[in-house]
Amino acid sequence: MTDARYRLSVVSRVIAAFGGGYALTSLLVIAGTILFSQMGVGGPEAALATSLVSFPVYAAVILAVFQARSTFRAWIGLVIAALPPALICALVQMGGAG
Amino acid sequence: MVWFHSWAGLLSGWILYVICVTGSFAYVQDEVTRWMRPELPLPSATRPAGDLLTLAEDHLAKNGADAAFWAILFPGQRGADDLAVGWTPRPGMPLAGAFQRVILDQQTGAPVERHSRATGGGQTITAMHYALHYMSRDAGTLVVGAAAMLMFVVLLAGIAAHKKIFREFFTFRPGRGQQSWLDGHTTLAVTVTPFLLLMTWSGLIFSTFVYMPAAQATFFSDVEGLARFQEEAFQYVPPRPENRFARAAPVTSLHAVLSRAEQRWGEGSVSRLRVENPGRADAVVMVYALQAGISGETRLLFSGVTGEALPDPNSRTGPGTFYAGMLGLHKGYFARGYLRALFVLCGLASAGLIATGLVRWSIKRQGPASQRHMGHTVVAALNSGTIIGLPIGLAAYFWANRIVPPAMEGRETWEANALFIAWGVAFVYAAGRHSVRAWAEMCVVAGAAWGLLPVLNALTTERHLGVTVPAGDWVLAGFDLSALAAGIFFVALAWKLARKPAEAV
Repeated sequence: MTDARYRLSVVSRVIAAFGGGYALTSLLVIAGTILFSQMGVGGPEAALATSLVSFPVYAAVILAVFQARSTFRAWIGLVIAALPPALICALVQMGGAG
Repeated sequence: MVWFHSWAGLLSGWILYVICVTGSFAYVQDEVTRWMRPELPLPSATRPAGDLLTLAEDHLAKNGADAAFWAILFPGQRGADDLAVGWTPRPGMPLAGAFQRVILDQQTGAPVERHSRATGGGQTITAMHYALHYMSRDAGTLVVGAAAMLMFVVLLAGIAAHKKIFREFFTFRPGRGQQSWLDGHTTLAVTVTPFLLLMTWSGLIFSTFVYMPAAQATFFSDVEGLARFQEEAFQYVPPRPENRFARAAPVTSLHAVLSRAEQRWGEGSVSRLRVENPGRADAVVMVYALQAGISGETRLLFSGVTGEALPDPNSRTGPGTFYAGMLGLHKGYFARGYLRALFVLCGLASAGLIATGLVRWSIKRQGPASQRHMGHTVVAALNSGTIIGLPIGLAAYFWANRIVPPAMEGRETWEANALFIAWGVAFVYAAGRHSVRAWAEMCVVAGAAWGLLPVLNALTTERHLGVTVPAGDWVLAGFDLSALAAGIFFVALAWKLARKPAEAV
C-alpha cells in the first residue's frame, strides 16, 4: 500500500469508528427503546436504560472497527449491524406507533 | 489494538491527565476550600445535637416564623464546623423568596459573622475536572466527554493489547529505560483499570443525554414529553407538601424527631434537618444522616405536626437506581476517612498511568537527535509541560491564595490566572529547553513549590502546622502535610531523573 493510500485508509477507519459507530449506537438506542417498550417497560424507563448502556456499546463498536481486517470490511460490518435496528424503526414508523 | 492504544492514548492523554489530577482534588474539595479560607476559626468542641437544636429552633421561631422551609445544619459536615440555620420567607413577608442563612454561636445562639478572603477554593479545581477553564461550561463538557469516551476505548484496547497483563504485572525491571516505563505503566494499569473503567463510564453518565441524545430526542422532544421523561424515568418526587397555604398548626417537637433519628443512626450522626412548611398542617420534617449512602443522602421523613414517621416518596425505577448509584460512586460522597483517601490515591495513580503511557510513547519513538521528527519534539514538550507543568500550576494556585492581598477586588480570578500563568511558563520552558534535562529541572521547581507551601502558610497565616497539629485540626494539617509529601515526591523524582543518562528519560 502506498503512503497516500495508507493515510486515506486510516482516515476512513477513524470516520467509520467514531462517526459510523456513533450513528450505529444511536440507532441501537432508539431500536432498543422501542423493543423494551413493546415488552411492557415504560417508555421513559426504557429510554434511560438504553441510553445508559450506550457508552460501553459505542466503545465496543469502535474497537470492532479498529479490529476489522480491512477498512472496507469495517464499513460493510457497520452497515450490516445497522440493518436490524433500522428495520425495527421502519416497522414502527409504518405501524404508526411511537 | 496496540496501534490504536498508542495513538488514541497519545491524542487524549494530556487532557485525560488534567482530568485525573483535578478529579483527585475534587474528592477533597471541601478540605481544600477550608485551607484557602484561613480566616475561619479552628473547630471548637461541639455540643450534643439536642442542645444545638434548641438554639437553632429559637432563632428560627423568632426570625423565620412564616417561612417556606427551615434548614438546620449541624457542625461536623465536611468543611463546615459551624451551626447554621437557613430559611426562605414566604410571599408577603419581608425578603420573600430570598434564602436567609445565619451562623449561630454554639454556646449562646447569637448570630456570628464569618469573614474570609474571596477564593475560588476547591470548586475551581473541581470545575476544571468536568468543564475545564476559560471556556463555556457546555463547550468544556463536550471536550471532557469526548476525552472520556476515548479513554473508555483506550482502556479496553489496552486490556486487549496486553492479554498477558496479569503475568506482566509481576514483572518489574527497574533501571532499564523504556522497559521500566512499560513495567510501571503495566503495574499501574492492573491496579487502577477497574477504578478507571468505573469512573469513565459513570463520568459519561453525568451528561448522558448531552452525549447520547438519540432516545430522548426521538421520543420526548417536546417540553411536556421531557417533563414526563424526567419524572417517570427517575421517579424522583421531591416531598413538597401539596398545599402551601394549609391551615396553621404548631410544629412538632423537633427534639423528639432528632432523638428518633439518633436512635436509628447513633448519637451525633445527623448532619441536617429540614422542615417544609413549618407551622402548617402539612409540614414535613426531613432528617439527613452524616453518612451518605452510595446513591445519595440517607434520610428519614416525619410528619411536621404529629411527628409520626412517613414513608419516603422517593422510589426509583431500576435504571434510575443504576443512574443514581453510578453518579454516587463517581462522586464518592459516601466515602469518609481512609476510603476517601483511597479515592484520591486511585485518582493520582490513574494520572500516573497516563503519564507513564505518554512518556513511553515518546521514548519508544525517540531516535538519534538528527533523525528526530518535528512531531516527536512537540510531544516531548507537551509531555513535560503537562505532566510536571500542571502540578507547578496547581501549587501556584495555592501560593496565589496566600500572596494576593485578601482585600483585592477580583482576587479569586487571579488565583486561577496564577495557575495558568505558571503552567504556561512551564510549557514555554519545556518547549524551549530542547533537552530531557528539562524534566529534572521542572521537577525541582514543582518540588520547591509544593514543599515550601507549608512554610509560606506559616509566614502568612495563623493556621500553620505549629497551630493546627496541636489543635488536632487534621483538615488543615492534612493539607500542609500532603503538600510537603508532594514536594518530597517531586524532589525525589528530580534526583532520580538527574542521575539517568540523557536518553533514558
